Order: sequence, then C-alpha cells, then structure tokens
Amino acid sequence: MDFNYLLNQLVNGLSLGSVYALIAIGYSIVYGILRLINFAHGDILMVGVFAGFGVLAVLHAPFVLAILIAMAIAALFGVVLERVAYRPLRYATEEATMITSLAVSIFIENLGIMTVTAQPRSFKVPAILNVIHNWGSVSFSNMNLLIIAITVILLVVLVFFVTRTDLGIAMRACADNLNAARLMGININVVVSVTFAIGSALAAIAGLMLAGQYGRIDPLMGFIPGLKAFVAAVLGGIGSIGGAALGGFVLGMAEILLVGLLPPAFSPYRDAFVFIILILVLLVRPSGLLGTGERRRS
Amino acid sequence: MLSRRDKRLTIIGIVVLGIVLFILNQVMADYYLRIINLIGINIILVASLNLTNGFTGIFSMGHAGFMAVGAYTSALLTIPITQKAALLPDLPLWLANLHVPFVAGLLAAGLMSMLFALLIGYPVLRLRGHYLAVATLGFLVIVRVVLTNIESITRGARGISGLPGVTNSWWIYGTLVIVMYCLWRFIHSSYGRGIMSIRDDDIAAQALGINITTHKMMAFCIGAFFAGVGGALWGDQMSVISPNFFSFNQTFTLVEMSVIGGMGSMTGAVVGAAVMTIIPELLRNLEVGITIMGMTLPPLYGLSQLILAALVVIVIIFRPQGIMGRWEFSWQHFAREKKKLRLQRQSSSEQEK
Amino acid sequence: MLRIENLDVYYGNIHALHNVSLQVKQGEMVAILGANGAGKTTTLAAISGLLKPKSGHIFFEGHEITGVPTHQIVSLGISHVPEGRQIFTSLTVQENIRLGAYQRRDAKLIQDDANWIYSLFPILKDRQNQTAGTLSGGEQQMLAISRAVMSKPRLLLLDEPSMGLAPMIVDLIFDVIRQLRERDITVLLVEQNAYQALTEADRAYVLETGRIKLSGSSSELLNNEEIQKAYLGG
Repeated sequence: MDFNYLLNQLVNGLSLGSVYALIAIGYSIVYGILRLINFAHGDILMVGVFAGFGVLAVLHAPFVLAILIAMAIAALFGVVLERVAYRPLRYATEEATMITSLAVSIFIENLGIMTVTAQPRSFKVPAILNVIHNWGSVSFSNMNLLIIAITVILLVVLVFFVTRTDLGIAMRACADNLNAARLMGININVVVSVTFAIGSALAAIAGLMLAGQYGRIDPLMGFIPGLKAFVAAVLGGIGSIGGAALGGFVLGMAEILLVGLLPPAFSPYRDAFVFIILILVLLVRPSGLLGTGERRRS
Repeated sequence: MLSRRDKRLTIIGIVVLGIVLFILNQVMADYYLRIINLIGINIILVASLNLTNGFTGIFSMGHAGFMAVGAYTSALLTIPITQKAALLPDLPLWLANLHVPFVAGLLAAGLMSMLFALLIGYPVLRLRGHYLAVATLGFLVIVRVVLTNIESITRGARGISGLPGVTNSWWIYGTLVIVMYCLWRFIHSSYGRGIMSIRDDDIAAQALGINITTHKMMAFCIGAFFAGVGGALWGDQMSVISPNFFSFNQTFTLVEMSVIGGMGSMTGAVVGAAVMTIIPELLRNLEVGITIMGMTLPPLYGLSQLILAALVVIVIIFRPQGIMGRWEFSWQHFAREKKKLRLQRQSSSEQEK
Repeated sequence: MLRIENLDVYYGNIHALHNVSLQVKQGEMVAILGANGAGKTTTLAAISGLLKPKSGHIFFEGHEITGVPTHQIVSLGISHVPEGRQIFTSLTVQENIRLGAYQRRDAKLIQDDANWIYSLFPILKDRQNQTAGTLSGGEQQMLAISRAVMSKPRLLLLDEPSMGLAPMIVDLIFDVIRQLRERDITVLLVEQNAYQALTEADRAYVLETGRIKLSGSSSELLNNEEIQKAYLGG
C-alpha cells in the first residue's frame, strides 16, 4: 500500500466530498424547515449546469460569469419550483410530498430530454484549471484546488449568514419551530424561498464542478449525484448544515477510498456501496453523525 | 365472506372475461393485443404495489427491484438449455442444465423475490416515511448494480434474450385472477385489517397488540412475491431482459398508476393500470412527431413521461385519493346502483301519471 | 381595542369555537378561563392568525384582521406567547430575544429594550449564550414572554403562562406582567389557574366547550357561586 497513492486518493476524496457537501446542504436546509426531501434537487443542479453551459458555449462568456449565472438561474428555478409544486402541499402527508417531489424530478429530467436531447455534451473548462501540480509525489489539479477552496469559502459564508444575519437566524428558527417563527413576525414563505434559492445555487456550483471533472453533461446528470448527496445529508444528520457538510466529506472520502483500496473488479459497485452505507446508517444511527433526532412535523 | 350470489356473479364475471379475451385474441391486431396484455401485467404489478404502499402505508420505491429478481429468475429457469449455454457459458452446472415449465418459472420468480424481501425487510421495515422510501430505493440501485456486474449469471448490461415468449392473454389474465383472489383474501382477513390499521395509526395499532413487524413483513413479502411474478411475465412477454428495464423510472411508473387509480384500493389498481397503460401509448404518438390539423409537431422525446409526471402532481394536489379513493368494486354496490336506477325510473314514471 | 364577533373556528371537522364574541379595551387585562379543551388556546390562535376562522370577524384597533397572515398581525402590534412556551430550543437565549424584534429596524432601541428585559429577568442575562433548550421551565417561560415583548406589542396574548411552574416563579411572572401593563401593554390572558387570573385581571370570560358561558368583572366572577364551584374549588 503506497502512501502516495493514499494521499492522492485523499485529495480526490476531498474533492468529491466537497461536491457532495454542497449538494447535501441544499437537501438539509430544505428538510430542516419543511420536512420535505426534495428529490428534484439533483435536477435543479442539472438546470443550473446547463444554464452555465449555455453561457459558456453560446455566449463565450468568462468562466466566472458562467458560474454566477448558473447559480442565479438555478436559484430562480428552485424558487419557482417551490412556489408551483411544493407550496400547495405544505400541509399534506409525507407520502404525498414525496411522490410529488419524485414526479417533479421526472418532469424536469424529461423536460431536459425534450429540449436538449439525452445526448451528452462535452463541457470544457478553462485550460488553467487542468494544470496539475506536483507536491512530492502527490499530484492534484487546479480544479481540485478550486473545488475545495470554493466549498470552504461558501461554507464559511453560509455559517456567517445563519449565525449573524437576521434572515439566517430566521431560517434556523423556522427549522426549529415553524409556528413560533410565525409569531415572531417572520414571513415563512419568504424564508422558504430564500432557503430554496440558497440550496439551488450551491447545487449549481457543485454541478459545474462535476461537469468540469467529468467533462460532460446530460439531462440525467443530477440524478445519481443527487441521491448520493442525500445519503450524505442523512449520514451527517439531516436538517443540519454542519451535518450535511460533514456527511458530504465523509461520503466522498469513503467512496473514493473504497474504490481505491478494493480490487478493481469492485469499482462498478461504487454506487451500490453508497447505498449500503445509507442502509447501515439508517439502521445504526438514523439521526446521523451530528443529528439530534427526528421531530414530527409541527 | 362473499355471499353465494356474489360468488356466482364473480365466476360469471371471470367467464365473461375469458370469452372477451378469446374474441380479442382472434380479432384484434397484434399491437392492440399487446396493450391489453400489458394492462394485465401492470394490474398485477400495481395491485401488489398497492398492497405494500396503499394498504400498509409502507412507501416502498424498490418494486422494480423485485420485478428484476423475478424476471431474471424465471428467465434463467425457462430459456431453452441450448440458448442458455450459448449466452451464459459460465453458469454453474446445476443451473445450466435446469429447465422447468413456465408455471414453475413463475413460482420460482415469486419465491425468489419474496426471499429478497425477507432479507431486506427486517432491517428496512424498521424505518419510516422517507427513510424507508430511500432505503428501498437503495435496494433497487444495489440490485441493478449487482445484476449489471455479475456477468457470468446475468450477462450484465447486455441482458438475456431468447426468453420462451410463452406469455399470452391466458397466462396473464389467468395469473391475474389468481393474484387478485389472493390479495382479496389477504385484505379481507384479520391480517388485512391489521395492515390497514398500521397504515392509519401504527402507534395505536401497536397499542392494540398488533405485531407491527410481522404484519409489515407479510405485506412486504406478498407484495414482492407478486411483483416477482409480474416481472417474470413481463420479461417473458418482452423476450429480452436487461438491467436497464428495471430502473427507478419503472418503479415510478407503477407508483403513478397506483396514485392515479387510488392507492388504497384494488379496483384502483385495475383502473390506474388500465388508464396509465393506454395514455402513454397515445402520447407516444406525439413523441415521434405527428400532424394535427395541418401543423406538424416535431419529435418530442420524453413528452409522455413529462405529461404523466405532471398529471400525478395535479392528482396529488387536487385529488390525493386517486380516482377510486378507497372504494372497492363489489357486486352489492352494483346491485344497489341498479336498484336505485330502477326505483328512480319507477318514481318518475309514477309522477308522470 | 380588540373585538371578536361571532367567531366560528374548526379543527378539520371538529367545531372548536361556536359563535364566540368578546372584547378587550385598551389598557385592560382580560382573562379567558375554562377547562382543558374549552377553546381558550384556539381563541388566541385565531387572533394571532395561526388558525383561520370559518366565519366571524376579529377587529384590532378598528382594522379587520380575520384571516390575516400571522406576520402581518405581528406588525400591527399583537404579540402571542403560545401555550407550552414554544421557544427556539436550538438557538441561544440571546438569539431568541433578538428574533422577537425581527420586524424592527431601530437597532439602538432594540438594544435598550433588550436591556430592559434583562433587568426584569436577570437570570436570562446570565444565560444569554446558552442554548434555550437547556433552560428550566420557568426560565423558558420568561424567555417566551421576553421574546414576545421585544416586538413592542400593544396587545399581548398570553397562553397559560403559569402552567407547570413553581408558585414563586408564577409570582415573578405576574409581577412582570404588571410592569408590562404599566408600559401601556394591553393583556389578554388565558389561564386555567382561575384564582390567579381573576385576582390580576380586570375582566374575564368563561369558555365552556367552545362557547362563552359567562363574562363579567373579576370581582363579580370571583363571587359567582358557579365559578367558585367549577373553577375555584369552593
């Protein structure tokens, strides 16, 4: 067992973990307030990525601008989605909201297939991101650096937001006790919209990172990463931002290490591993690593 | 228990069904016949789904996984041995030489699925709500990944072809009658009442001494059994199976049928399956581009799925109980309606006098 | 100041309030008495917008507020301390109090008010940075009231402030309520502890299975034989 190999895998794990963390946060914050698992979250990611792609490929805009536009469009899409599909069901049964969010997911995926076809397209990032550095015998690309750096920065900003700003504290209050939040004069609809916007924007960035890493995009690209990020959120403790981040990193590392350490014959099983982890977590510690236990919807 | 009159009526109904099927098989074009057969299979699948999801309240998203297990089990047991040897040279010897009649294949399919249900049931059924849903979804993913990768047994992504194709209207509807009978008996037994009480309030049910785990397991396993049978019929009817067919979309299609027909009703399963098998066929024409009133619509792949998904959302928002709600067809209702009509006609004719 | 006319409220199919009418004049303290399930909490919830009445009207300072969303009602000057405190258990004491002033923009005045609250309930100041879930029942009630007062309400709705609390703490809380009244806050109090409520309040209504059974000044009701038998153990 090569130590350098291990280090390289760690870098990859951190990178993948960052992506999962960003997507998982979106699940967590929405679940925290609405007790809703937005299965369409991965598809919102896809919409953001395609928006970014459009900006890059069609308008030939600078990469940074593409990222910002992708975030904005994803945020807008998330807000509209909530308004149209989820708000009418805010007081419905868990089952109904679950079916709806799954149906919405399929709707968006097929909308994508209809408009841009299922054909994968290649996604090129600026060459500077593909530059590889070598630190001793560990190698990583600028892309890895960027992913990890952006994630850390966003996490810090997010924590600042929810602990220091009124709106952020209001978000936490809504997750804590929705009725009491109403009595504080907090407009729940606004908070929910903001929550969706934030989650969607983060997912868009994560999606762009995935697109940059794999070099291709297609309308179904959000499905599996979305599910895995959900596993990450549950792993860390759904409803908690810190939990989502931790869960994301742990899952990313676990997936990479499992694939890296086991014989190559097991590589195609990486998706199955993730779900086995999920089932184990749900059996052993369903509240997750940082979770404080399920609360019934108020 | 059914009254003697109802039993007689049901048997007459089945005979009528048989006659109708016979006629259809003689006169209908293949394309339409396939749809009738598909409806039959879907009814079996949706009815079994309703048992777990609608009647017991277990939101299982892994139904396609059980279908897959059933389809592959039946396929491996019923394809001609020479075909098997050609496709799957690496099969263990006992399996390579095994060939059973179709009935046995169906039974084996059901049993195998039920075995899987037993295995994952104990850990997974302890969960509730969306955790349960995602865990069963995980099961589905795991099944697919495994099926795609144990190439020596399943040929992986290439799938298995050359299934006997024995399935026809008689097999399907015959099985359907048996399945519906079994489900009907189960629901009207004390176990059935037990699972419904669990759906409505599992804490109260527990307080009444109902063993939650056993009941849930029963519903889950029976549902899986028939899902396996349905999957086997489906695979055989397609003559080819591959892991891609048993996707999340497949489960969700069944969920759509269940929701629209009415999750808590067997009649709902029939209605939902029928409606939701026919509509996509109609919509599929739209997908390849048709001409309406002189306007040519371009090919819109994915449109049928999209419309169905939107339909489900609309149903959930405006009529969450589906078309049937929890209402079940019964001869008594039928008789009562007829009587009502007769009385109405009598009274209106008396008024005219 | 507050006028409720012919209010009917349903929980699903359950008819919780039947044709309830009552009023609260500015500066008063009015109590709503009644047994469990009589509809007291429902009444407050209807006023603060948590529940939508099926029929009837609620007027506050001349404006109709029936069915208006809660956040708007808060901005009109009504604050509701719900049954069971309902504080934000995962947030700190300070964050809870800060949230009470969510709709206000005057940072300096908010700080002044916070300081005043801390002077009323010094123990909250000690526990400023503690998570609210770790507080005792009495402290949580103090926090709940503090939070509600931070929005500078003109009408304060209190739902069973004394429930489950030791007598000493109950005294402290009613003491604070008196001080709030001195600051021109009108109070509508829901209480099961009829004696305490009638001693402190000017007037009271008695609710029984969703209907107003009696009303009058506190002294009247204290001397009323029925009330004595039903609620005062006499």
